[in-house]
Amino acid sequence: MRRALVILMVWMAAAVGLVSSNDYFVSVATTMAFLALWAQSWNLLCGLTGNISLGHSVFVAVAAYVTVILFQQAGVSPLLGGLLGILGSVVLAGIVGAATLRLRGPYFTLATLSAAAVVLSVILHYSELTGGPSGLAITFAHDSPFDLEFTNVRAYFLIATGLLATVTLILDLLKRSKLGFYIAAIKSSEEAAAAAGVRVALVKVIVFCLSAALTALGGVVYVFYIGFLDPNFLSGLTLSVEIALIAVVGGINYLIGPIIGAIFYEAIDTAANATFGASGGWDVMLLGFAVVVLVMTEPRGLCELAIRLLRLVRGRPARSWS
Amino acid sequence: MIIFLQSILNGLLIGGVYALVAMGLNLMFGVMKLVNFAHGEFLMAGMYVAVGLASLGTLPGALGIFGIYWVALPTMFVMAAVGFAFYLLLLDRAARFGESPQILLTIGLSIGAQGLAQVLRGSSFRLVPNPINGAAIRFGGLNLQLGPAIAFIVALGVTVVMAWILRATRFGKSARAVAESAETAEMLGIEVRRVYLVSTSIAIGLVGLAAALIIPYQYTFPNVGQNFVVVAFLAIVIAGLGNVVGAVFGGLLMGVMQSLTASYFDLDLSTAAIYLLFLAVLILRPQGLFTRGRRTL
Amino acid sequence: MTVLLQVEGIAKSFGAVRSLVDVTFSVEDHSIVGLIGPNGAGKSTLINILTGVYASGAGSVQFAGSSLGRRGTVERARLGLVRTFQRPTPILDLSCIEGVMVGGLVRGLSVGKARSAALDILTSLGLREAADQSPRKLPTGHLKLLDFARVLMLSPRLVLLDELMAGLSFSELEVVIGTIERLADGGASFLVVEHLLDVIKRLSRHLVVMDAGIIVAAGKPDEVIRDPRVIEAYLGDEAGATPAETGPAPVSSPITLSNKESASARSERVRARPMLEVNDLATGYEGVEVVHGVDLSVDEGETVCILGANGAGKSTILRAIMRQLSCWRGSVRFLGEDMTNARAFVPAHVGIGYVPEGRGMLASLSVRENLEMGAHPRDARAAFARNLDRVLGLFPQLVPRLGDAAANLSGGQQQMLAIGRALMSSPKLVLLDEPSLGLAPQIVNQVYGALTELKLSGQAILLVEQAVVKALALSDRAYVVDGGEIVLTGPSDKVRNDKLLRDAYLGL
Repeated sequence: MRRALVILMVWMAAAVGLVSSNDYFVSVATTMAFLALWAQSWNLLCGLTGNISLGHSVFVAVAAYVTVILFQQAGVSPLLGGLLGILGSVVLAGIVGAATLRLRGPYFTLATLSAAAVVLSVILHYSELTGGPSGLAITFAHDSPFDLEFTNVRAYFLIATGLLATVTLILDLLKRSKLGFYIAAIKSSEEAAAAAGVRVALVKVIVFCLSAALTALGGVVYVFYIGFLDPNFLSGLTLSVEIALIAVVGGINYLIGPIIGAIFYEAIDTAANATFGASGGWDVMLLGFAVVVLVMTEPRGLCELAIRLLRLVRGRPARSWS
Repeated sequence: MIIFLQSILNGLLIGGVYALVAMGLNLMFGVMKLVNFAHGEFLMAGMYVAVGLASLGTLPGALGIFGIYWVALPTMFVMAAVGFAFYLLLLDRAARFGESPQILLTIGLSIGAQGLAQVLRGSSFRLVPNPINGAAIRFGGLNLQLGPAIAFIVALGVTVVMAWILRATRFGKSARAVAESAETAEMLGIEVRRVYLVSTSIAIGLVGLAAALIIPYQYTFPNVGQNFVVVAFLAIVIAGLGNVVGAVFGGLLMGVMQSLTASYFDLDLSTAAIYLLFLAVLILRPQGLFTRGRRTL
Repeated sequence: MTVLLQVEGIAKSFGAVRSLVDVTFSVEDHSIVGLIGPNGAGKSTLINILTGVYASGAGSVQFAGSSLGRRGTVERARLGLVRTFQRPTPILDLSCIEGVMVGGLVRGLSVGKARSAALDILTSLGLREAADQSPRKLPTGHLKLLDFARVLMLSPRLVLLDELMAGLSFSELEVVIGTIERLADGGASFLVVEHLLDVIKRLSRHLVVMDAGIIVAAGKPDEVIRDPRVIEAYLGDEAGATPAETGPAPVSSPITLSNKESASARSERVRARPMLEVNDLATGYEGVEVVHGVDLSVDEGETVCILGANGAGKSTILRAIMRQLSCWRGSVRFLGEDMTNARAFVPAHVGIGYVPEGRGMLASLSVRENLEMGAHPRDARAAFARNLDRVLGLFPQLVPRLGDAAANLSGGQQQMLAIGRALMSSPKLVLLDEPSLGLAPQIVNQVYGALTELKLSGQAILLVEQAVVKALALSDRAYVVDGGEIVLTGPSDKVRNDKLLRDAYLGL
């Protein structure tokens, strides 16, 4: 029932997007979908361990660059190149995940931040291949689904929301699988899970890799949507912070948390831009202070806040999504 | 050889500022177990305050070319007051939240502050014209930039003072007790919240001082804090989280490394090298390089 | 009978504290071995070493014929060596049956098969109705049964049970005991750590007793319990007869002793000013009430002790008085002032010194700095020099160590420092929580020697102790706590001979 609701919700958004004649609205909704997708994937890892990764953008960057370089320089279709790109991110995740197994809290956060910084530096350095700091433009010839190229931005919107729905579904299904059980056990008590024979270290690394793979998946499509690779953005702290922020603001214990968070984030951004113009810092300022107000009111995120409000209104506990 | 020595010298001088920023960061972490992602923005705010004061005029007469430094003490006190308010209004309540919400709070504050600065002051790069900017002394074939040198000397002085405060004053010992165990400290009658309040004020005050010291030669703009804070974070982890005095060495080390690698290597690779070194320390010796055994502050 | 587990010469130290000195014993197939011993004996450390959480400092552990070496907890569990924890470890995001299924999944069952196997186990433990509920609503006893069920799903060869029985109802106990006996007959072995001695006597086929890091006795349960070394380990050292040896059934006198003081006894005492008054105090942890309405008082110049078995709630009472826990019911008054809702730093300022369980060392501060921190309250600073002299006079061993970090002191020295630090605030009342914990007998004597001097100087003392004889010898009055309630109170010499005391401790 829950699952059906999620899918319904997402495809309703899709329908609205299809119908909408406002290109701007559709592009905002598309960005929202990508952000939500990344936040969902982030949540898989960080909801488990309670740590905060501020380096997730690196998985977007690695997959994006691999896919685009293969596409531009070797003519490999992004559908295949994308798989290789995702593989690259997964390998990186395996290394970082294994290396940071014993790190907690701020140590873990700084390690992920550093990993992203290292990759960014590497991308900037090998500029003949990657285009360096000026980035890479994706040559657009004609509409071609296999090359992930569409003139109509609604196509990207559909793909993005489809991916979001898929990822959400995957995460929901995961809960009923063996891996899902192990993840829940580790989350409650690593000690007890280990004492019951759960391979804690292995599960953590697998989760890291899975989280990276889903993030990378979004990244591959995203760069074709944007049509341009900006290394400072794709592997940058700003994007990593955005992703983490959206997930935590939405509520890390809820399946729709990241989706709500993305809507909140983009809504404020769009409203600020509409009212005060795109430059001048208003969007950033309003966003930051909105987060501060939210955390002080309900540190557990928007979903919790909504539940609290519903309880007040109805006088009885509302259903919780998780 | 000259390049090598010059690099080290430059690195040490820059490292002094990192050290000041890192010290405050580590004080907050050691005492309150809080990672303040907005620390760089307090530096930025301090810089705007200092620049604002400096544009009112520099003190002539006795101070000579050092006239612009009169803003140091006022900036420090203003920022200490800001830290005071920061604790009372936000951190005091947030103490009850988990680690995640606290990090989220400081991240939100960081982003909001950068936006606010842009809204109020625009994204232009500001520098109050003053004789310190670009001034340098030459000795032994080496170039000693005046601005960074002064910052370095003050940073060392402040380190000595902080070390004394922590070792010899009652407040310092209370802070170390709270850093060790807030529960035990309370049972001995120490008002933990008061210690948190004062520690936050000192930490932000230190950052204000650092701001005043760099405005003579460093441009002020909304995102200026970001560069400093990341390096400061690396510095404190390398030194050992919570090790206030050790943070100085962490800052100096980061400065030297940055300078050396920039001189000999490509900029990007040198950045990568620094982060890789950091990762190595984090994984192999998480308690930090400058922490012997058990130290809390 | 083949040997399943062979433990030889295990030792473990944490810094200066020697938790295990030399432990050697074995567990055979099809057996149920009980492991008992007073608080601090090293039982939990031993379990942690057996499950690979800590590495042993010496010796070896052989399981099913091969050495376990440095294998981790996960590997040991998959080899068939599992354990439960003292505190329940429910999997909060899963339903009860799903939490139990985890064990089956580890063993290789499919989700479907694991579910039916889990259902069987839950049914046999009487938890079938709880299967699809969330564990968040269940009482502690049921949560422990879930933990038990989870590890049983692994078809283990050796199960280490760490205080499983505490918190179970009578019928639940029957079910668990029955399950253990059935499984033991079927080939599994159990090492059961417990404080409920009647359960242990019934269940174990072999009993091992630990104290201060070594095994003091091992053998048939009936014989071991009567072994004088075991009695001594629990009730403390005393030259002369210990209660168990003074013949059957010492008289419990309902006239002079009860769980409340009689009016006449109280009016006799009331001439001295009542210093600390606790009325109907109730408190607990994480929603679970642990102390259920306790009355006690301490007068000026009195030494009062609180006795009771491990987990009875003694420390909890002290922590509530020190405002580290909030009072859910009742009140705490000190020198006439209501302290029930005061903040945690207040007790030190009104004159209550505290020596917490485990000593609460400020480890990275020096000895001298620890003492300085003890003199935090304003009036204490004025009297600093005088108090320092007094404390160093009481504990001369601290003098040469004044500059050392507190972490480098031995257990006994740390205890002296903790007491000295509490004295630095010129307290009107000193609370001590298990000062003898983890200390060797001679050191305990030294500590109690200092406490005696303190008492003779007129200091009011409230002492929580497991070392019964020492505490009763020192104190004027005693309270005995069992299951979060005061079951006995009266003058110390009367309490010592009361049967209820022995029951509360030894369950004999």
